[in-house]
Amino acid sequence: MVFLCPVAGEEKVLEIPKRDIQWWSNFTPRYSIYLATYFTMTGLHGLHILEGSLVLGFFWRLGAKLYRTNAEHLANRMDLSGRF
Amino acid sequence: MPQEKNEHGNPMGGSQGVGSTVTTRESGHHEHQIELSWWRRYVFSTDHKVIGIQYMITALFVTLFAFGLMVVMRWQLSYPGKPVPVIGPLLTAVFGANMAPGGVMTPNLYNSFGAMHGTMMIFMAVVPALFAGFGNFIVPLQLGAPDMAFPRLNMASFWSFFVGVVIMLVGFLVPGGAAKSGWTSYPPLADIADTGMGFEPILNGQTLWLIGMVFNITGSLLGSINIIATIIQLRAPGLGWMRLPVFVWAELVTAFLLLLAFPPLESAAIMQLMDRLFGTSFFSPDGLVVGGRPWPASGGGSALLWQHLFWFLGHPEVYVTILPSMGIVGEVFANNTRKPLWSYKTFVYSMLAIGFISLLVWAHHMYMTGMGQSVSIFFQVFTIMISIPSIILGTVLLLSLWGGSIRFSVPMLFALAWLPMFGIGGLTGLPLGYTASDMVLHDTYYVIGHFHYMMAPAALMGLFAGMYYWFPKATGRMLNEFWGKVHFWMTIIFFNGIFFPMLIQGYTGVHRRWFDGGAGWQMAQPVLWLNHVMSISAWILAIGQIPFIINFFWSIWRGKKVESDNPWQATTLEWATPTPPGHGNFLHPVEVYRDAYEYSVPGASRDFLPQWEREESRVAEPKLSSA
Ligand code: HEM
Ligand SMILES: [Cu+2]
Repeated sequence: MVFLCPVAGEEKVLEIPKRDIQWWSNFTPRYSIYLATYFTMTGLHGLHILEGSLVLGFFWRLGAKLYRTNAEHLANRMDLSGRF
Repeated sequence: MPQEKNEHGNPMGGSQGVGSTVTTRESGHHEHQIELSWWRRYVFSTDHKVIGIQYMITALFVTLFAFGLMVVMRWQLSYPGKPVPVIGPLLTAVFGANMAPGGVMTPNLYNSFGAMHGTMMIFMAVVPALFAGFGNFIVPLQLGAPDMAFPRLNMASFWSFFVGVVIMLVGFLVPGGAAKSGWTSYPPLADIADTGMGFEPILNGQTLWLIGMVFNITGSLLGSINIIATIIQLRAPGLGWMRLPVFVWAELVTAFLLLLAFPPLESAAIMQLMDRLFGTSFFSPDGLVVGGRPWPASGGGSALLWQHLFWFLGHPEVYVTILPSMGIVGEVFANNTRKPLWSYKTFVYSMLAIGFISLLVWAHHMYMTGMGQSVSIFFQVFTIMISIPSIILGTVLLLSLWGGSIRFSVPMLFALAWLPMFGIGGLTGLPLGYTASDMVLHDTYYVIGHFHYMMAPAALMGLFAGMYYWFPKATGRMLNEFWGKVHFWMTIIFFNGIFFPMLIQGYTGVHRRWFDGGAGWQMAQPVLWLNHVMSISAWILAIGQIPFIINFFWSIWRGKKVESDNPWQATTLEWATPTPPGHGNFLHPVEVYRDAYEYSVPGASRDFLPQWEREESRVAEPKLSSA
């Protein structure tokens, strides 16, 4: 960043290296308790979704064999995984 | 009929012998036998007995390890600043010259050993051994069930716990060493510890502590759901609530405590993790200055919030350590006094009362935080109230001895010693429960003495009692009696040698966390010699465990074989199984005809009437059914 200093008669350029600048924002978890809570909860929810998709994905592809041999068993399993 | 509801297909023991085959519901409603690979049988097993033993072995290993940490810390307290003998070079080699220059403990190393000793002992040793180890092995047997209600969930809980232990241990090897903020991990200290120069962003002690705890808690939650479902659903026909062995009751109450109390700590751990990884400030207050620089986060969080969330778990957790041990002691008492517990119902109701009230006392750990009088009074009242069922429980056990023909077997010795240890632990809790006296005692060695009387002499006595009592069921061989007695006397004497002096030192104001005493020790000169008593006791206690360790392994392969399935002439259902029980546990469906402890019934030909016998059988001794 560059600042111009209007000192009488001369112009001097003051340079501040980037590493000396701290980036603050009201809209990140670090500087706002509200967003900290928000992102923690949505993050956990995201993990939860991811995990559920993995389980469902498993039943979709790898577990599909069970559907042909014993659909009821598969239904029970889906039911149980849904519950946990 | 509870039996028909079990998950595991074949209700009552489809297979004979030792877990070599298993009946599963592989396809729909007809079952077939499959041979399991070695991995599935002993490592990724769903058999509750194998999982129980896995828990037990892991927990015993952790106990030994965490005990080792304490043994080293005791050196520092007795001989501050002197190189640790024997293992000093090892400390330097493992933790580096920063942490242990020339084999001398640094404050950081001391702090990390202290924090890890507490954490590992409570969360990964005592509770897994007593609640999960015995719980898994014994509860389904005592219920007459073929397995836990959710065998796979059971496997998941063990492995989650195990990963937690591994992550905790990894903490010792990362730059900067393991967590150092106490087993309670109070922020803001825990928020800022292990950050900055020389620390990795994730692979640092405190962060690994949190991640390890999250895994451990997840395992505990799954395990407690499983125990609750098993006890509610899988009781044998005829096994009504008031016929349950007291150990099962203890496990039920414990499981509820874990289920209700752990979620707040799990969320708190995740929040602290966010504080450390993403710079949120759930627990860091405004205007935090660290090392002369403002902490780069918004602040506005509350450090007290952590304390509430932690102790909301923390207090029930201490009862989680003692309740299963109470249950074991109850079993051993009834069996070895050869008479029913003096009042079974009182025992059960006291445990229920303890369980309930223990959820209402957590802030007695926080009297010094200035929470205000009305809050203090609330917690003070409930804290004092909880000692009532505790005393009743002790009284029930004491009266059970009255008029019994006591067998002084090794389990009984441990159980008998449990009683006074529990007494001392409980009575020393009272002065802590009143705000006025807690003001001076808080954070002194007195507190350490108080809770160790509960957790070490008491809870571990229960652990050993259970170990000697159920070992023959698990292995088919008895532990050696003579070495058992040696182990007992070494343990009871030196436990007291360690913990009683702590009460005395605490009274004179010795602080619980100082690594070389500092200026505080100037004022505690008259009691400093006790440091040597404690340290030497700790080292002899360590030596005293060697007979047990050798006895344990020796007896697995070489011990005296049991002659019947019921070597202690006990009445509860676990003794109706073959020895050791195979997959599916019982050879025949069991039914329960009588109360849990029908010993010395007038008019009977033997002094015990097992729960599973309809008529008094004429056979003097049940023979080994698996032989
Ligand atoms: C008779 C009942 C009991 C009462 C009245 C009682 C009271 C207390 C109080 C007031 C404290 C806080 C002291 C302080 O920090 O200033 C405390 C600490 C503690 N108690 Fe108890 N307690 C009782 C039973 C137990 C039992 C049964 C256990 C465990 C099995 C136990 C384990 C602990 C632990 C681990 C701590 C210390 C935690 C720490 O600060 O690191 N207590 N007790
Ligand atoms: Cu407490």
